[in-house]
Amino acid sequence: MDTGLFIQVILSGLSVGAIYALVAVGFGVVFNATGAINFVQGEYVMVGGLSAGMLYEAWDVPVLVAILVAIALTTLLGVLTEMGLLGFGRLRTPASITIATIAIAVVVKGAAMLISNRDTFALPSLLGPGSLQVLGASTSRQTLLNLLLAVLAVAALTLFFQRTKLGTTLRAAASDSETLQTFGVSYRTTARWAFAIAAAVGALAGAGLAPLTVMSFDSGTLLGLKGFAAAMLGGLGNPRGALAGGLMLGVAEAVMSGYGAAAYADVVAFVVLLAILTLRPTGMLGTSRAVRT
Amino acid sequence: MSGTEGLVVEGLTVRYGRVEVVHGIDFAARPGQVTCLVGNNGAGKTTTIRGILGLQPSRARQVTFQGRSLSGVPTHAIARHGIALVPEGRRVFADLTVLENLRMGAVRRNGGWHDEVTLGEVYDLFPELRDRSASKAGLLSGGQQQMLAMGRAMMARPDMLVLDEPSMGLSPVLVNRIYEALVALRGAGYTILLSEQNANLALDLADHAYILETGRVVEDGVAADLADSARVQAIYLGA
Repeated sequence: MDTGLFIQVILSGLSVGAIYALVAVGFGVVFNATGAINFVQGEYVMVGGLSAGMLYEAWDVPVLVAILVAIALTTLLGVLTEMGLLGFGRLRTPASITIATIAIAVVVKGAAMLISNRDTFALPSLLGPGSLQVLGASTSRQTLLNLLLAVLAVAALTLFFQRTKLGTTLRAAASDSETLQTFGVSYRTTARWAFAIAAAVGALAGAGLAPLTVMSFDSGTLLGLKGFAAAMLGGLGNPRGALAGGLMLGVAEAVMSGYGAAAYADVVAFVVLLAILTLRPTGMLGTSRAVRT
Repeated sequence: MSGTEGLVVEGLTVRYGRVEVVHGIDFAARPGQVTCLVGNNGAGKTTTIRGILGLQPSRARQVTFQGRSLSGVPTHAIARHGIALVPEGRRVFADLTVLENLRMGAVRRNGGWHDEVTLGEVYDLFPELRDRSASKAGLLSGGQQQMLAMGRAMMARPDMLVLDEPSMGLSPVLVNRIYEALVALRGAGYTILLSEQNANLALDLADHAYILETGRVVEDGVAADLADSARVQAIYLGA
């Protein structure tokens, strides 16, 4: 067996898996606050990557500034998502919010198509071009940066949820949002923070992906579904589970395209999703919780 | 009755979907007193409380607290008027630690997140909570969860404490423990609105009581006088 190829496959899997992990984290944050699956999550990745790419390629904005502006724009889109669903739409039940996010995702995708004129955009690697030699395999520097980004983002979010007042409040909302309201915290406040955080993390994923593959208006949908599969795999709502689920899914896909048939790589996520939903619906690191009816 | 102080409820109607559960009830909770809603399961005690706090759609001629109208005010805003709830079934934040649960009670109060004084008062009243401050609330016993729900509401430093069936599902020993704590809170000057199925316990503690049957107030008066009423005896016997 060719170890160089094997290492290369694993590394590229981890790199893409890091992106899936960030998407999965976003699903979990919104799920915890609202009980809903936010299908705009994949579009946040697209908007983050596409707008950073546009700023860099079409407007000559320095790459780091482009990424920061893209994250800010996408975070704003997250806040707008909450305002549309819970403010304008007055939706409150997880099922109705989930369905409406599909509509918003279509709108975001359509707007991105008009704004980008169907052009594709990309970012340069933040650490410059050139590859690194790792255990006899060569890999791009961006690969390692993405892994680092995902691990740091998950660590930062874990600290945020455990140690800060806002983070604790968001966990309380996940536990019992009605009771939290009786202590003066409105449902919309926690929901808005959750959507903002999910969008910011999604944009970060987009910025990490744009140097690896070109971004276009329709990059988000598949990423969203794969991130959802990763979230289910790791346990929805658990950031560390999201990291584990994302990396495993990425590696599984890379193994499929490296040793099996590349054409079937996209199928892996859905097979995993089906298997998890059937065998262990709470995910590997998830815990089931009682629901009051 | 001054009419502008404490809680004044007139003509409160609460529905669950299309079914009207509470049919236009009147009652008041006076400052510094313990007011009790007594009634059997299904009498509408919890529904009344949920209606007042905006957790259930309701209509009323008047619902005021400290002279300010609560009609149509969302739940989170009512909390900021100085009312804290100890809900039916305790509803502690199961995934948070005991200490985090207590801090959440004060989350919207200025400086509340770091209020060690009130936290000390809670721990003095319920030393069990101090011992288990780092435990996940979901792992506590029912009695400890009830104490935690009460402590969490105390952390809000409310003008009125609303307790919905605090004795439900607890052993007699723990029920006594909870009621001893309520006596202490009454002594500390808390205004308390209590819903209770255990009529003897509640009437012992309360200053004023309202007897609820199928969504209507059927009798009210000084708690001590009501203890001998035939209706109360019927509730006590579970008839």
